[in-house]
Amino acid sequence: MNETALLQNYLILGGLIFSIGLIGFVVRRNMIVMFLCAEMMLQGVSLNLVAWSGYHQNWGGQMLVLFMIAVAACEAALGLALMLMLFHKSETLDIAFWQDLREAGQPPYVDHEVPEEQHEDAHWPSLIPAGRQPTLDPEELGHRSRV
Amino acid sequence: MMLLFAQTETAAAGGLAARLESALAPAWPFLTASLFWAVLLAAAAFWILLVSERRAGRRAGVLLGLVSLAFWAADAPLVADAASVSLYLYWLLAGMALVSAAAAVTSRSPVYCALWFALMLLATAGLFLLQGAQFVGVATVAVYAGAIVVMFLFVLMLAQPEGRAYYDRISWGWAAPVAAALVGVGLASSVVRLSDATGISLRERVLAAAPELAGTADQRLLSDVRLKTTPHSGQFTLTLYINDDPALWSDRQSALTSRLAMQALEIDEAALELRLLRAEPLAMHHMARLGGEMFSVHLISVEVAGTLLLAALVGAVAIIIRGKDIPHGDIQSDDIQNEDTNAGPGSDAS
Repeated sequence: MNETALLQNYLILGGLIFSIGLIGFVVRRNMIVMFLCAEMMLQGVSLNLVAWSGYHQNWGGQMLVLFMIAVAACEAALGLALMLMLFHKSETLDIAFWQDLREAGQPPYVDHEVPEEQHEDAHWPSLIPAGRQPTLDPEELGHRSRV
Repeated sequence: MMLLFAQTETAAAGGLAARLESALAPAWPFLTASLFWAVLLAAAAFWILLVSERRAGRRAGVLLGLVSLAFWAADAPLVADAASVSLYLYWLLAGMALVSAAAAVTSRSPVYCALWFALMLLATAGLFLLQGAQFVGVATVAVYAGAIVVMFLFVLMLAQPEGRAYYDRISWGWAAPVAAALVGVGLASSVVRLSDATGISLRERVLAAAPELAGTADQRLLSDVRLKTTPHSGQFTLTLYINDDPALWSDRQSALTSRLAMQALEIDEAALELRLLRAEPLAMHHMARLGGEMFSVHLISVEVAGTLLLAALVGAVAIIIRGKDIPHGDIQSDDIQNEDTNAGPGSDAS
């Protein structure tokens, strides 16, 4: 493949992945998913760096990607530790819980309607019953007299 | 295939140079119609997928996303050269990366998000290997997908073991997904709007201006064109990479001078050494050279990165140990304003 065309395609792909991560970071409310989208933005940048490194035959791009992986690991460790502490305080991973940290003068965001989970989405897999029906003690059905 | 490094100064007078200069007239930047529609339809698909709850709505969003993916893949040439396995591999891996990224962003279960993200990391690792970055590709799989994503899943299992919650299905009202989709479109459009100096069209324009550089149908003479601009001076250098196949020329020097009719052609033999760094996934001694570069030129950065890792480790342990003193689930949302935090200039503003 033509080198310039390969570079161009890589740059476009890196930009698209960065944009997708940006959309996810802004829209999602789960703290961990937001963090995942931030990591996706880092991955888009890594693609760009590796493409430039290959185009200019220079090691610098790949070096920066390696350091970015190291920094991302540190950031993930610290970020997840902080998120666990926040969850410890608030019992939820919703970032709207912490909206008291918003700018002064901004109205709070209130959930107007919380959609209930659709019945067809709450289907969990189950095993087909097989074998003989065990003999059940009717007294034990209500509660266990012993553990 | 060996490459010669050829250079021509545009300031030199001559028929070829004049024609090349005319070929460098600015053209519309590289944004094909299919890419434009792909980005637009993808924005619509994202908006649908991010707000829809019903299964039918999500199916429509997925369909729209696949249509946009088809538009993006329309740029891929249907007929490739014999030695272009990398071309197909690129489109396959890139499509996989885009689909996984979109699914990771729009999944309603956070565990599915993490798994789609891991699949996207595998696709990008393949793309790194395609560029010849062996260590970066393997490090992505081993460190990123193997350690960081697993850590995400651990924390998810600790914090949200039942799976979906209400905040995974809604966003900040109806405006946020629309605004995010529009911003994503704008960002993607401006990112792909590359300057025409590095576009594929440059090579075609050069070939149109100087057809003698085209060669025959099965042995292309001109393999690559690069343009370097000196800022603030109006000077630019056009570099032509020429396919030098020994079987093609009987007498290298005379064939080149007679066929290309260039006035000054400098052949840089040292440029042949570039072959050692070519983007080949199976290039030899990649790790040795990477290590040599890393521990000589970037030695201080490596040491600083190691210290950073140590600091992060100590910091994470410190956070967890300090966090154990805080009572469990005791604090309501209102208490954050009343809490006696470290006094700062912003705490008394409200």
